[in-house]
Amino acid sequence: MIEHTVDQLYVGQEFVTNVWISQKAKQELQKMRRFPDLGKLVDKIRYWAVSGFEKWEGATRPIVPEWDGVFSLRYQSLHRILGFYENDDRTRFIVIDVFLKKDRGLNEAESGRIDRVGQVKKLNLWVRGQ
Amino acid sequence: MTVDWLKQAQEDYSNSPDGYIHEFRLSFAEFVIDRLRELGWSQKDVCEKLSVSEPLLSRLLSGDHNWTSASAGKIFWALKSRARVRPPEKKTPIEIPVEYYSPAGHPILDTSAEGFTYRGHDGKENEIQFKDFEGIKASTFRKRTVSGSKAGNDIATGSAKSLG
Repeated sequence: MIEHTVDQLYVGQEFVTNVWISQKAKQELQKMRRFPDLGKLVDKIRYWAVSGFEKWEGATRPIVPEWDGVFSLRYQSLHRILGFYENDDRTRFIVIDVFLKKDRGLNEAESGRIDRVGQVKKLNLWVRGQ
Repeated sequence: MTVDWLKQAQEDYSNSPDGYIHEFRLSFAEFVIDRLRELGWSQKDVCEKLSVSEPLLSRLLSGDHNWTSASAGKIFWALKSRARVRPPEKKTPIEIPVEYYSPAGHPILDTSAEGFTYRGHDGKENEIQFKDFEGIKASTFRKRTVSGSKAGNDIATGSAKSLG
């Protein structure tokens, strides 16, 4: 059963990593619309997409591997933009969910959201929109 | 829900003074990452050389750290690189203006497989059909670049009757 429809966010020849984003992730970012640094956050994603996400990956870098093939794009230690590489191909990244951490570590609900994104990847519970 | 508002937020930010600073910091972070890869070093290696903590270097690599020019200079030193700020390259296409002239020096205004139109010395436009002139082909005409361009000079491609 398809859970997520994803749309193009940054897709094209100028991007080493093309990025798609789910409706859910857009809704979560919409809640942050009054967040003053939202533009900066998306600006980072665009920059990383142009130069390629792979270069920015690592435990101490802004794109962090979580588990089950899920990666989180991080901003100021609180924001977690969750997604995965389609077929583990570093040129295609699918953003599924977004949340703001409540505390220093992840609580159960937040870990559960990472688990869920892992399931979306594993079971292909997503599809591209128009 | 479209992504337009997200892209607009990014564009608005990118065009702000903060956006310029952000891009500068990200490009510096990218340089550090690329250089570490070239040297085969880990972040830990460069942290030891600089006597800085890994969390600090991580903040730098996120593009969020407000490092000083002195700190940046030390990083260049640690990574055995010198750096200078250069003006952005102008990426404009090179256009080489070309004009065609008949062997007699008449500027060609228009050409086709059948013939051409040229401006005579009296300033009037004249039309010539190739079939009327033995031995004349389109390739006969000289190509001359407009003065000031960097391309080559006249290309002589054979002889033809003068058009007078």
